[in-house]
Amino acid sequence: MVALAVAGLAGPAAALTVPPERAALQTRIDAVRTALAAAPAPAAGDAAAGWSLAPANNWTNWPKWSKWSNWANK
Amino acid sequence: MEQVEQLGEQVIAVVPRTAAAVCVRAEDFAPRLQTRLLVLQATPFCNIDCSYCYLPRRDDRSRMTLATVRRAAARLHEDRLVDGELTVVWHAGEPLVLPQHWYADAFAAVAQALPGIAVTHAMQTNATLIDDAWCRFFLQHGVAVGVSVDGPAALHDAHRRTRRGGGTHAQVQRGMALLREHGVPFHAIAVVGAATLAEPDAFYDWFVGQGITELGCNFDEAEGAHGQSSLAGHERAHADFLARLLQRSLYGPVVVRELAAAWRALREPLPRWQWRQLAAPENTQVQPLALVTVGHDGSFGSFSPELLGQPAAGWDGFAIGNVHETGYLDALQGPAFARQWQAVQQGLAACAARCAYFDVCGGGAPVNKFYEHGSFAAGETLHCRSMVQRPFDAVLRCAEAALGQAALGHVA
Repeated sequence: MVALAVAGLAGPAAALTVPPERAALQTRIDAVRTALAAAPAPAAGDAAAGWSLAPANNWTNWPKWSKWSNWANK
Repeated sequence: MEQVEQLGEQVIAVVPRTAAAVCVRAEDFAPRLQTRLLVLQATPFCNIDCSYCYLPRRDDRSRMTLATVRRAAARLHEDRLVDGELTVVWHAGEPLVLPQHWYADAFAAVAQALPGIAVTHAMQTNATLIDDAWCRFFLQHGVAVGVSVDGPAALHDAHRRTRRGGGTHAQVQRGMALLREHGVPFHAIAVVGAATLAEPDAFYDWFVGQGITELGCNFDEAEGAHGQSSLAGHERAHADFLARLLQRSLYGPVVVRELAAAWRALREPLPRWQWRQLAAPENTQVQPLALVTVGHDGSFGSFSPELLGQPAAGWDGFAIGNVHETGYLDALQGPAFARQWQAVQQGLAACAARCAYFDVCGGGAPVNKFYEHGSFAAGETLHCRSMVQRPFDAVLRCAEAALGQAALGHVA
């Protein structure tokens, strides 16, 4: 059993087992987030270093979650 | 009454099993229920006839009355569902078949009904009817314009056709040229089907050539009048397409919505919402009234906007009320909403129990669950894999490769 806070649906009366595939994916996500937090800020447009962790175009200006939020978060 | 639904020994979730158990109040949600997007279907009519369109009545020239516009907006105000700002999108069918003076009156009606609210109007258009007057109207009213276009002419004209079967690509390009001439900012949304998967570079380069910087990819989906996705059976090709599109878009000028969303979900956890025992990552398609869709006749629905007006037997067009008869919050106490909400929760529970991507998705899209599996209570869909899972996989793999083994510690 994984902590409910990590689970998708959880609450005072619900118990939930996180599927192993999600736990594995979350481990990878956590590793990337930790590495991103520790990484130095890349130089703008620093394509030579591979993916500079901040794409050269400004993706954060279009933070749309789905096709039905692509107007709302403009 | 609530019961625990189980799969083998695994507890899936606590879900209400009867409509009578559902008593939904705005205050029971954390955060309080809020409408993020109001979709107004000014008319079902569309002047073209795309082969993959999900809309069932594209030849119906009915038009929303201004009284309906006013009530649709006023109900949000009366129910305190909007806080500070609201986007109204005019969509389904083609919004530009109605005249500009109608929209000027409609915008005024919305503003009057929502005092103190900063309203942004958006239109998703096939661009074939854009002229100088429309461009001036967009600028005058600050309309956020989205153009539906599928890329190069051969890909576009294979599906986006006139009622006589001719291609519309040339007309769309004329419309986009006018937008550029007048300095009207716009984004593009493309339907990506199987034929596009083999041409990621030509697809991407076409949007670069058009000066477009924001592109949404609606991967062909089975819903409504469009019963079969061309992507079925092409999932490996879809993954390859996304990987190439990611490589192009990382340093190219065109941001791809699905990849940008995946990048954001990788960077930071989704905000969460809660109702009773239910707590989940945000997903506006499964949160009551987060998206409100109002049809031309005043009927309204929650959850996936594509649902409203669909002729599925026994679902009454998926409407949960009519703005001329009831408020949005009052409709949450009705049987139509109760039936949908119960099934949507079951679908949410199915995703939570089984899907690896639940924390970066929040429970999928009810409309796709319904049309792929016949029930809102279903879990994973082709749409999940094409719109969420594979874009996320592509971005995650790319990040892992860039960060390198050392930075990722124990993750191989």
